[in-house]
Amino acid sequence: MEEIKSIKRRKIVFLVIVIFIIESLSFLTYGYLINHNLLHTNELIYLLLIILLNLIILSFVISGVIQSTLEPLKFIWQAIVHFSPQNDLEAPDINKLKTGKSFMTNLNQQLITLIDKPIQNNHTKDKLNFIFNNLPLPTLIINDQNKIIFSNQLFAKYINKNLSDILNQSLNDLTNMIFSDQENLENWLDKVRQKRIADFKIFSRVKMNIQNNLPEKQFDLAVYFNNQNNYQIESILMIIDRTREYQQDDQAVSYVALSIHELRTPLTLLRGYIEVMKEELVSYDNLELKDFLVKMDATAQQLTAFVNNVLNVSRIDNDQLKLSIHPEDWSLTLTEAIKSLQIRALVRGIIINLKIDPNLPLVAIDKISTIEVLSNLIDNAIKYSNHSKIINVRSFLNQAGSIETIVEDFGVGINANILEHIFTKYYRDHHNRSQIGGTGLGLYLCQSIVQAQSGSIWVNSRINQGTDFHFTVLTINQFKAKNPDFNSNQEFTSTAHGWIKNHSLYRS
Amino acid sequence: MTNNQNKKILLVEDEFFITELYLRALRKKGFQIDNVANGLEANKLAKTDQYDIIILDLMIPGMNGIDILNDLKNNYNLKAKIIIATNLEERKEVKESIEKKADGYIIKANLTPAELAEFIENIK
Repeated sequence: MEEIKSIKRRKIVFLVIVIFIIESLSFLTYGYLINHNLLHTNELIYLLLIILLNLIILSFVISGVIQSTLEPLKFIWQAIVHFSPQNDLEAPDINKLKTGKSFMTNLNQQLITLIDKPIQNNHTKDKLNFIFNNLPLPTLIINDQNKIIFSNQLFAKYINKNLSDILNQSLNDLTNMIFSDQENLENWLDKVRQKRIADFKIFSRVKMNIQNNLPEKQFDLAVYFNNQNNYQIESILMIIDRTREYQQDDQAVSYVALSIHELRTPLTLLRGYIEVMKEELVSYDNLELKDFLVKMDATAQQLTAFVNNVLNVSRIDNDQLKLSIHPEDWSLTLTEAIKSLQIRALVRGIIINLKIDPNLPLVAIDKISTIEVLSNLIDNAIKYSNHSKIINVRSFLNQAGSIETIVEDFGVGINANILEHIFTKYYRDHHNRSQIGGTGLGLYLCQSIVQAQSGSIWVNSRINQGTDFHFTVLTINQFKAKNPDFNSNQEFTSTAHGWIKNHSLYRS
Repeated sequence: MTNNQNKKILLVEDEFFITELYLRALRKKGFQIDNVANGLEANKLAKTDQYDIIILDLMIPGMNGIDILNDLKNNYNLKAKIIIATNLEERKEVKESIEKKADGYIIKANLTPAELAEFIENIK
């Protein structure tokens, strides 16, 4: 540390000497010019050159001394490199760059302003074409009917179509974008149309199948919405391709899933033999041995839950997670699930208090998957309980008419700035990462399952006071109202990305 | 229990340890059980129509579970209910077997042997 400080100090001293020399040289030059009557017509240029030279050197000195002043320069450099033609560098992640978001907003704002000028004017039109076709990102403009009214060549190329085939087509007909979240472009636009004049959103990990024989594309989609203009222009969409990066993640999970699949048979056996031993030890007096066996059982269950998590996330990635929705008694489902999860809490000395309001209506769920949601939330609560020994689980009919369940712990809590990312795939709280294990898949899976059943999931937390996770499931009547064709004998199959009814895609 | 004694089960499973555990759990419930570890043999035995329930693994040597299911359901009118028991949860295969009229399926990793026996006991 001392050594670094001393290097820095030497650097500063060196730079100050350099400035001093250059400043002296400048004055000497200036003096020489004056003395020899050379300061006539070129006077101003000489002066400017000297001042400029001084400024450049000063800026280097400042940058060298104060590291943080380099930050904006870094972003500008990244943007320039990315936007320069024929570069194959990956786009900067605009979500991660604070300035990236405002950069995109500003760019779009300027484009909208430009478009807003009379479009009949050929000059403006040309200018617009020029700008769009020089953007290194596939870009398109849609109107309030989701029809494409402008597209650059790159977008046409991206979806493997001719530019002339794209214009005036509905975006939904032309592309089949699969969003990683329940909030997709369509429902986001519906929402902002009602409430806002302008808004900006980045959708991450959007997938698009161009054609059956072409590989799937994965990208971030930046959307700038502005309906205050005279030309039906509503949103500008920009695609930031991340196929290579996201596929690497997915392939990693797929590979892990493939390997982890092999764990299932030994796990089945392990749990089977533990069960046999538990049965045989009933009349046995060794309490310690019995206690060990319960712990062994809890551990095997935890391992099974982990294996199921990885396999399920891999299925979501491959669009293979399908849920079969049936009417179920929620009170019974919850009681059964907690009974089997209780063992994992008890071996750590934690008690789960369960409180279910009486006479709850039947719910429409996939039982196994919903139990996986509970299992993940309870496991999380156990993991982050710290010294607290109580977890509360409550279930009731909420004001919206859905069944709401709360899993509440009194442990370490979650930082406010982390809460918004908590359901993101692979996201882990870096403060806890080194202390508490995990894969960053559990809550992502919970969200996918809950949303696929048309429910919601959210979280409240206070540091050192605890966390409460809430999720809802639909009652059978709510489900029927949403899906009028549903009857209890019929199986509704849902994927993590939407409903599938009678084998055809049906958006709820 | 008395009811179970009248039920005859064919367990088609090639993993020795799983067979051992399932046989124990099912016998505890009082079922009569035959078990085979080979697909061809299983197919032959099933056709004798003496079983009430057939628990069928998908990956077995000789003839795979899907082919057996296809053959039995398409060509024979057996009284047996066929339950697929697998860890190959890739739903395409499970779905395929359900579509081919399996009477049920279980994911082996999700049920302990005792739970499997209970599941079988509840089949009407």
